[in-house]
Amino acid sequence: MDDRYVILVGRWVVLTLGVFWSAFPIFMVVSSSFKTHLDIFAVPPKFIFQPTFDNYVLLFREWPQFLDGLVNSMIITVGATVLTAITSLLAGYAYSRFHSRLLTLSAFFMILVRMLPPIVVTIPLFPAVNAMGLSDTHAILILLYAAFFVSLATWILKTFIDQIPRELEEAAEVEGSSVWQRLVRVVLPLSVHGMVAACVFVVVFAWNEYVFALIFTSNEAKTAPLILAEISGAIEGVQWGILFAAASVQLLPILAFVLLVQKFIVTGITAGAVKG
Amino acid sequence: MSTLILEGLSKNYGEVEALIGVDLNVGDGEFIVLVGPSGCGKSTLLRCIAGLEKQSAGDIRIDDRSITGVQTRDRNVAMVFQSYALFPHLTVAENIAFGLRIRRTDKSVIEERVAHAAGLLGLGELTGRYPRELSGGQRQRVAMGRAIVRDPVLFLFDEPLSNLDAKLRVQMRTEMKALRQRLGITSIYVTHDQDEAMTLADRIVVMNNGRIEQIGTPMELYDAPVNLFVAGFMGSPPMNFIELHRKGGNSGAQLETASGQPVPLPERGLSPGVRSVVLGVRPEGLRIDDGGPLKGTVEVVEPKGSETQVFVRLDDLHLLCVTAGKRATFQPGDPVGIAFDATESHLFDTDSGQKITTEKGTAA
Amino acid sequence: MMFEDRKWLPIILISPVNALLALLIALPSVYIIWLSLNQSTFGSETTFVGLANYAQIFSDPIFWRSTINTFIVVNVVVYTELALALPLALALNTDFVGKGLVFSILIAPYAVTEVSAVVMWRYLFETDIGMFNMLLQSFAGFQLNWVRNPAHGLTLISILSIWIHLPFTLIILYSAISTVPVDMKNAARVEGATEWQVFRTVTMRFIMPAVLVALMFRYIFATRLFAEAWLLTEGGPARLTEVLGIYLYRAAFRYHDFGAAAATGLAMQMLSLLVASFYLYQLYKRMQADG
Repeated sequence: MDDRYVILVGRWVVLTLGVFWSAFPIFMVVSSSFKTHLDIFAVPPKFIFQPTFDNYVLLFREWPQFLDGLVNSMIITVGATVLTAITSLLAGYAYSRFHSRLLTLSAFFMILVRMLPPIVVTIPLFPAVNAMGLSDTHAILILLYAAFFVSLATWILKTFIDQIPRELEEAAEVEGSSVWQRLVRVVLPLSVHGMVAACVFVVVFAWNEYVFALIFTSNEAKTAPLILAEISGAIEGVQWGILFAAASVQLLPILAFVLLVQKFIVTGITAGAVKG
Repeated sequence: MSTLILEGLSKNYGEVEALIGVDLNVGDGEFIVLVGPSGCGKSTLLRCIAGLEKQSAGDIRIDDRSITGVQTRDRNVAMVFQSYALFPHLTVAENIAFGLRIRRTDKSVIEERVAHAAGLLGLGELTGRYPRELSGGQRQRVAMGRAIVRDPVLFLFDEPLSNLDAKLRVQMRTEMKALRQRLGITSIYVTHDQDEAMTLADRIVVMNNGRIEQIGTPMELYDAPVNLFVAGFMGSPPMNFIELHRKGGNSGAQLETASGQPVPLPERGLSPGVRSVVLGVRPEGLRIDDGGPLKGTVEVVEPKGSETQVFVRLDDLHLLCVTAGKRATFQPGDPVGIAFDATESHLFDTDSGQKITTEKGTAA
Repeated sequence: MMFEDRKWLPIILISPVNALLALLIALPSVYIIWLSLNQSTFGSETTFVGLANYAQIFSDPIFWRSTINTFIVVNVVVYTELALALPLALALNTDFVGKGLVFSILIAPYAVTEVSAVVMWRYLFETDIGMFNMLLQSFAGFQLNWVRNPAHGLTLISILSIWIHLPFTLIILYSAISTVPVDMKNAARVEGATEWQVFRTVTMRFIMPAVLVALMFRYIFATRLFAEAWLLTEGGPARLTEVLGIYLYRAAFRYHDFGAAAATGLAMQMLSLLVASFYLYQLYKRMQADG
């Protein structure tokens, strides 16, 4: 048989299996969130059924704290993203435009730090966070999430700012602008794509993160994944539907976001993998 | 309206000396063109005046006030960049208004001035467009608009026409000249194109290796270059150079070419120690004349329409360009003689390259 | 004047990022060395005990079990991901209708929190009633008994981990493959190479650096394994499916033995840095060269 047919057939087999592997678990959980508890484990599985919103109604009746969790997740995600964006823009600008031994060392430091496992820092941080009264606050999660993504975001922004010709800034300077005006009026508007590429990762991480939330929140600042885990731990037999509804509510917005910005994810992972 | 004085301006990047003791006085409203080969320091000089680079030594004064410690943004100069450096996220009007916005100028004033500048440059229809939607010439005009809109004390141009194609470049050069006569603002214009320099300048500054070689009006530089570099740089096609050696003893001895052709030149001005000199004659200072002292063979003939350039092979080292009449009928291979006018010839010291002043002799 | 004359400016610009990194990651990571030499209930009120914490964890069979589990899972996960991502990336390296959609679906698991991923895979492998377990039962005659059988538990943990992280590996390989010059592949074809030879001699050579980078990153990130394992088995049954992350978490937040947790943490750090050191060394040399 001709090489080309082998490749054509091989390509479609691989892609079909890949799509099934990636999509099937998500599809099953989301579709089952609209099933009655009898249909959820029906044999054979039902792919065509009368959708019901009972699970969603039950979810918000029995787990009102899930809504609080979503609100907390939203606040923390926005906070961590804004913090990451601002600090990384400044640093990315510095690494792009200035060169010195100190900067090289600090760039290396940023990459080194990113290699350290997050769960390890929880141990020394735990007493410190308690002592400062930051435990169970939005602030501590915002700070932690930002801290673990500023180095990636900085590198992504650096590579984007490298593409902005220096002459544009020189022109702005000749026209009378200070370094801050250049940042706001020239660099910022021209690195919007870089900002998106840099922020995508912290958005997804902050919305989905479990370990830090588990350790540093107890009540007020609990995030959606944490409540989701609680629902998961509390289910008995018939309550799978509620769990699926909760998982779907938590998943669908971020899934839509990821699919919307997938080009930036590719750019960002590529840039980040090359430099840090 | 302002004057600019540079005093002993030097700039080095580590070991590399980009500018070495540059002195220059620019009068009010004067249009100065800095010209020289790439890497000669002309752009560095411009950037020092703008404050984009900090000089290593020396002083820059505008209206007799030193601006050495003054930030670029407070120097109130305007600059047109080679790449135009238009802000891609802003419209034409916003690009032109950028400096005024930074200075928080009144909105109605901005509108009025932008409209005026756009009108002056023929950009009236385009103010709502973005730079990527403009042609090269239009972008160049927007860059000009940004420079003229806020009454700077000084215009700085960094090879503003070099990104345009040849035809547009000539057209923009003419427009630039008209504009400069109209605005009359003190300007420093950097280019590597000597045609541009000749056309635009009140005075030309020829630079090489970080130093000023000569300052003068276009005709002064053309007629009286002070050294080999300036002589060779200004004029197109360039000046012909012929190396001459002194034959025999000291005074009274003859100058001749490497191949031994004697060249009759008055040599009263030549100091006795000089063994060899370089004779420089522009193509229009040479003429084909079978009685001329230099003998050679026609190698290439290039009709230019209004005239014909004839390239004559003198010897292995020398191919001379001679401007001949419109209907010159020479053929490659023709043996010819070349005569030259001593009043249009220049003698340079072979070692230092400096001009040797001789008393004008008679035509050879 | 613009970029050279303001030595203080870059320092100001990078300080927020570096402050975040230093205060929240670097200092704690160093402080943990001290903490691992102390006895402490909640990380405060420390009593110096020398190497006692290390003696304690190194003599704890569960620590070694966690280490071995981590080692096995990390290797299985990293290499399986590579084996899955490479054919997918190759298959994607052409234009076809619906490619955007296919790519979107392939990277969708990146958007899923570990919590939901556990829910999804539990649903498919729930004992006796999960769809995949029923299929396994009828075709292979056994089920994945992840609740009771540690080997099965680790298998499901690995599957989960692969499922979540495959998009990362896929994206790195996909970007690398798309930069292989078509001309170079065509040149090989003109020279008479079969598609397999083209892949081996051109594509593979070209993407090797990216493969190594992907491997290194995945090794480092996979070592952090915690949430999937914790949410699925909590290390059970009888702490037999614990990985280092769980061992550390249990020591600190269940047994309040921060000294032992710190010692474990340091071991995890060393492991990560060991993997990273080769890459970091290369990177450092390159950055020195860049100035």
